[in-house]
Amino acid sequence: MRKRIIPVLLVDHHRRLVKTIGFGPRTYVGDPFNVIRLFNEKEVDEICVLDIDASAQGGRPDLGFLRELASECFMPMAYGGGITAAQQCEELNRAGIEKFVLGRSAANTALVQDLARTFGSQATVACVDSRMRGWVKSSCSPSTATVPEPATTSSSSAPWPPICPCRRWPWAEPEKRYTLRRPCVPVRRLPPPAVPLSSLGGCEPCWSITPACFRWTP
Amino acid sequence: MITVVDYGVGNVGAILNMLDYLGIDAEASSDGQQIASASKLILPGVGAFDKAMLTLRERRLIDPLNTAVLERRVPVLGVCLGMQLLARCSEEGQEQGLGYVDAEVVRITVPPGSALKVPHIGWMEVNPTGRGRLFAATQAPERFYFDHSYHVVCTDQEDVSATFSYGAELCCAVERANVFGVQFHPEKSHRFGMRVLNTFGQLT
Amino acid sequence: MTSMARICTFCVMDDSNPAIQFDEKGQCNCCRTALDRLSSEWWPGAEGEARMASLVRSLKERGKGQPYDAMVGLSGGIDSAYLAHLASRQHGLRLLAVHVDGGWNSEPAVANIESIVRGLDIDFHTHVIEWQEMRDLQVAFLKAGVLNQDMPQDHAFFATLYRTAKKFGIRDFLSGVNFATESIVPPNFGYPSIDGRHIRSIHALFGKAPLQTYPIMGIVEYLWMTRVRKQLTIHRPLNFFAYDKQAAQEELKEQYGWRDYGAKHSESRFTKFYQDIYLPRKFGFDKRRLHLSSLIVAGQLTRDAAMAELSEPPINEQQAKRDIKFVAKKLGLSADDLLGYIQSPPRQHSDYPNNLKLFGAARDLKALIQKLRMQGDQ
Repeated sequence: MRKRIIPVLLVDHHRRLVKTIGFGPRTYVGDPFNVIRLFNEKEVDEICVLDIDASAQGGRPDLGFLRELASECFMPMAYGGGITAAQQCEELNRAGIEKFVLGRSAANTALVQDLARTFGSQATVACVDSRMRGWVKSSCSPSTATVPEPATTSSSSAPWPPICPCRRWPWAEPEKRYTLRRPCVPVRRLPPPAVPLSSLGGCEPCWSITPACFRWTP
Repeated sequence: MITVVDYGVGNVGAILNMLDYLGIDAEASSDGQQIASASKLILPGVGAFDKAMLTLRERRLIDPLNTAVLERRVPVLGVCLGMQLLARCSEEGQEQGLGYVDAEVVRITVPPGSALKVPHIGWMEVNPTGRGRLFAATQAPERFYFDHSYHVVCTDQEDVSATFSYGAELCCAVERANVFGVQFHPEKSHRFGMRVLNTFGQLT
Repeated sequence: MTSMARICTFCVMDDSNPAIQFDEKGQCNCCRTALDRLSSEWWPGAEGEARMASLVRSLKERGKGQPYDAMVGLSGGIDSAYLAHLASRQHGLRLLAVHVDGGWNSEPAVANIESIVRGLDIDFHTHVIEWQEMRDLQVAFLKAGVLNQDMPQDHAFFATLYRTAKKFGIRDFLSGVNFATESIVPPNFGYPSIDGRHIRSIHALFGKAPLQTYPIMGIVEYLWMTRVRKQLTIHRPLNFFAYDKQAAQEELKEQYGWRDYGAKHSESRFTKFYQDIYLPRKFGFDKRRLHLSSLIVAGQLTRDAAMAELSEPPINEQQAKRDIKFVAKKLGLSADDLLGYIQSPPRQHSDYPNNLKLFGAARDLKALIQKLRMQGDQ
């Protein structure tokens, strides 16, 4: 499988691009439109935009903003943040979003299966927040939660790999520009094929993210 | 000036932005007269065949398109569903297509037990057939972003300007006289898509 | 562009600036002044080498026990990149590179900064200005109709530089400003970007969003930083040798894979718009005259070659339309709005509250103190 480069951009509720450390303090990185244009020119394969405030603020995906963002983007775009229903994904799709990332909604198996059926399992991505040392924390409760079973469609086997934002490298500098994620540690309890991500703390277009970079041991 | 047909279906904004980036003058239009008198057209589209044809009909855009494409013979590029609309008909629906290309649209079938999935979504390298102008100058392999469940089958293989391998060699680009079509999304295929749009933009 | 404009017989400055004067030989006061200053500001020979060696020695001395010997600002331009290369690679200075991101970086600029930083393996600090605030301030400046539209970016750079120096305890700054390409200073032209009061007043009149994080340096902080605390000593090492920008670019290409911005520059898409469209159309000033005249003074370009370059307009109409569209869209304006701001009557900086007199007084006072010191030494 060809390696793909997929920058993951975090947006807050003011539509500012930010970088967080350990899901904590945020550093302003720039305007999403500026950064998308730069990644256009860098010819990355896809872009993933995550609204990290949407769920916490009970908000919905901002369609107008996302439509504009998607139209600036010269490659497929995935979006996550505040998605709770298939209807939203239809609207997002019409606005130009190709893939949908589910956080706490990933626990809603019916939704995951519905999306996989309508848009294809390639378009359905579960995002699980986790920390170093391998224990899995669900984004909606502080206790350890189980990862939802991979959704399957009638015509396929495994779904598209989940994205797992792991804790940042402790020495990642907040001042570096873009958030590109690369595999850090194998998260053992996750079923394959899962793609772990972690902040690089810099723009590394040569880094790639593939299921092949990650090994699952039972 | 390229006129992108805006009928509420398809990635008009993204196409315009890419053309803008390339320095090619373009505008979106839903006005019949403007479309009929355009010097070049792009017909985008995503979603269902019937819905798109019905929408074109409702908005009275079929006659203007016919005027431009069949009478005035201006270049027209159908993108994704837009390419499928150029055909005579589609397995997906009941409506007649525009019929600019002698072809029909059928659902992608994959060999049983194959790992290939439908819809076909993702980056895929295309194989130019050596016919037509859109892929004439390309030396290095090009890949594009696809997102579709149906594909075009041409009656005359001379109309096929590029194919892709998905269980079999399937058509992904057509060209006949002034009618062009691409199954993939050039507006989502960064420099490869730009190359195609640029070539189309430079056509005389 | 008027074909009847009077052009200097030595350089290529013209009379679009009313303060320019021509002598009996037709030579302008700009290049005469620059030629007078040449020997005291540019040392392309052995003396330059000695000055450079002395500077490097003193920076290393001051840097002992500190994390860095000096700070350098990287804009994505050739001058600052070459300076970083020189200081770090050739002279072994430990540098902190600083970049202030105002939101207008072109992709090649970003790639070039990265190439240099990684190639030299130096520490790099970026400060990103809140785009919504920068956008608002830039629109305010456009509405104000003044000459120096680079002020929002330049002031932010200046303020950030000093604050970063303070944060990291750095006392020396290596500036890419150089005589070879920047000797010409038109009289009564431009406006000092350091005037924080001017930024505030224009924003108060025409801005909409509050400036909460945009780094503004008021006169008190400025005087404190520069006169009292003397946070930064500014050095201009590109004046210590025969700096040739073309040659510098070739070397950067070879060593770091530097990407050419092309004949149409530049690292900042806004500065491109400002120099190619805003200045010529609103103030009748083609900034190329400045750069080319400086090269003539430095003996790196002939007047004929400069005139040949000036015979073409700075930008063709089609590209201008595209640039206007791009800048307008980015600033949240319609292309017509932006054209309106370009075409409206030009205003003077003095039309809006400013601290120019105070800065002037501070400069005069400094000159007076230096003069008195020199007299006291005698």
